[in-house]
Amino acid sequence: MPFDRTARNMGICGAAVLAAFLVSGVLAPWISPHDPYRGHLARRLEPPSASFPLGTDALGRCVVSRLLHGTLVSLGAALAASAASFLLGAAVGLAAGLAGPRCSGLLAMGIDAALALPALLLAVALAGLMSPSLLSVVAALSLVGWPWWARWLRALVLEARHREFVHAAVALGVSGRRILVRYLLPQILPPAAVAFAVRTGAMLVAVSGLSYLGLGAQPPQPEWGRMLEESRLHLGRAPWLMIAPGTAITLCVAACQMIAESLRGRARPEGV
Amino acid sequence: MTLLRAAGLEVVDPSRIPPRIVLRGLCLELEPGERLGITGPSGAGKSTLACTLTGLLPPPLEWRGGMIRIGRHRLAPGRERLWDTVRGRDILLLFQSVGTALHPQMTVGRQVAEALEEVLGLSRRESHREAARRLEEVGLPSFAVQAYPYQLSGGMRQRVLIAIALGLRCRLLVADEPTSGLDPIARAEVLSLLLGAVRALNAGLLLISHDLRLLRGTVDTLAVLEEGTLVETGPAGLLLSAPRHPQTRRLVEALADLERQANAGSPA
Repeated sequence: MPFDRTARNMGICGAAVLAAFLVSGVLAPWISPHDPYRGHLARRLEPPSASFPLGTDALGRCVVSRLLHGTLVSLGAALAASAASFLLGAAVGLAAGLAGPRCSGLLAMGIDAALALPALLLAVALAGLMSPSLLSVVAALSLVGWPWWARWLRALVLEARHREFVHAAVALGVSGRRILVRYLLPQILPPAAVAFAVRTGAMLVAVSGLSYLGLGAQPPQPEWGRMLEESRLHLGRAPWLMIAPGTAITLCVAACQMIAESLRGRARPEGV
Repeated sequence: MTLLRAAGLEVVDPSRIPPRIVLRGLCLELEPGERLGITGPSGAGKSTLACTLTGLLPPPLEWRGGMIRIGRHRLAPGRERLWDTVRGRDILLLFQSVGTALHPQMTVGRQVAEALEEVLGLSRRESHREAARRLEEVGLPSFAVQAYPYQLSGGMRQRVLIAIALGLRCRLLVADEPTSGLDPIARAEVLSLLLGAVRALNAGLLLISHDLRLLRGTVDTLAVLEEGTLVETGPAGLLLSAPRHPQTRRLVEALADLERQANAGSPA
C-alpha cells in the first residue's frame, strides 16, 4: 500500500499543532505578556485588545498568559495519565496475553469486571476520595484507564502469538524472550502507538473535565478545564473566556486524532 | 540410532461433544536417511501428527498419552517444557503455508540469522554471514538476504525455510505439505532441494502430503493415516502397487482415476 500523502500531511499538521502548544507552554514564562496570577481589578472582563490579546477574566487576569501557563499543566497531566494507564494496562494485558489459558481467562474476567464500572464516574469518585489536586486527577484517571488497555493489549497479544509465522519461528527453535521482543512486540507496538495518540486526546478531555468539576487543578493555578469553569458565570458578558481554553482543548484533541490517523496508515507494512 | 520413535500417541479435542479423538495409539519410527511419507484423507490427523511431534499442538487439542523419543530426548505429556530444547536442534517443522510462515516485518536474511543465533549460539555477525551462505546454497539470488517475505515468490519462501533447516543441521525434518500452493516447476525444485538437504544432513524426513503422486517418487516408506490411526505401512512402491487396507485402496484408485482421465485428455 503506497503510504497515503493526505494521511502524512495530516500527521505533520497534528504534530505541528501539538508541538506549537508544547513549545509555547515551555516558553510561557518568557512570552506571555502578563503575570498569569496578577489581577488588574480595574480592567475585569475586558474584551480582547492590544494589551490583553484574549481579554481578561473576572479578576482582571490576562487570559492569554493564563492559557500559555496552563498548557504544560493540562497537556502534561493528560500525557501522564495516558502513559500511566498504558503502563498499568500493558503490564496486566501482556501478562494475560502470554499466560496459559486458565490464568489468562481469570485475568480477562478481572479486566472485564473493572471495565464494567463507568470510567468517568469512577474517576470522579476516586479523585473525590483523594484531596483535590491535579495529581489526584492523574492518579484517578490512570486507575480507571488501565482496564481498557489491558483488554485490548491482551487481545492483540493473543492474536499476535497465534500468527502462523510466530508458530513457525517456535518450530524453528526460536524461543522465549526473542519471540516476545522480535516477533510479538513489532506486531503490537504500531497499533498501540495509534491507540495511545487517541487515548491521550481523550485523557486531555477527561483531565479538563475533572478540573472543571473542581477536582483537579485548584485556583489560582492556570489550567484549561479550570479556566472553562471560571468562565461559566460570565458566559453572556465575556464569551472569550470560554472560547480561548475551549479552542485550545479542541485543537489539541484534534491534533492527537490527526497524529493517530497518520500513524494508522503507517502501522501496516506491506504483506501484513 | 533411531532418530524418532513415537509410541501410543493419543491426541484429543476435548472441546467437541463427545470429545473427538484425533490421534489414537499411533506408533512411528524413523531412522537416519529414511524418508517416511504420511498420507491420508483430509481430517485424518496428518497435520495434527506433525504438530504433536514438534510440541506445537494448537489449542484446544491436547496430547493425552503415549511418548515420543527424539534422539536422546524423551517426551511425554506434562513434560512439554522440554520441547524448547528439542525444537530447532533435534527436530524441525517446515510449515504448510509458506505465505504466512515468515515474519512479514523482518528481512529474510535476518530471519534465518535469528534462528541460527538462537539455536547455534552464533554471534550476530557470524549468523548473518552463515545465513547469506545458506540462502545462496538453496539457490536464492543474493538480493534475497535483504528482501522482505512479500517480495519473494512462494517457492523462494519455501527455500528460505529449507535454508534454515540446512543452517541448523537438524537431523529430523518434518515437512507438512511443503509444496502446497506452488506451481509444478517450483514444486519440483523445492522437493529436490528438500531431498538434497536430507541427504546432505543424513537426516530423517517425515513428509506429510495427500498427494500420492508427489510421495511416490520421494519417500521410501509410506504410511496411510485414517481417523487418527495408521492403517497401513510399507515400502512406498509395494504399498501403492498392492494396497491391502480399503482406505489405501481408495486412495490408490482415486490416483489411478486421475491419471486415466489425464491420459485420456479429458479435464481431471
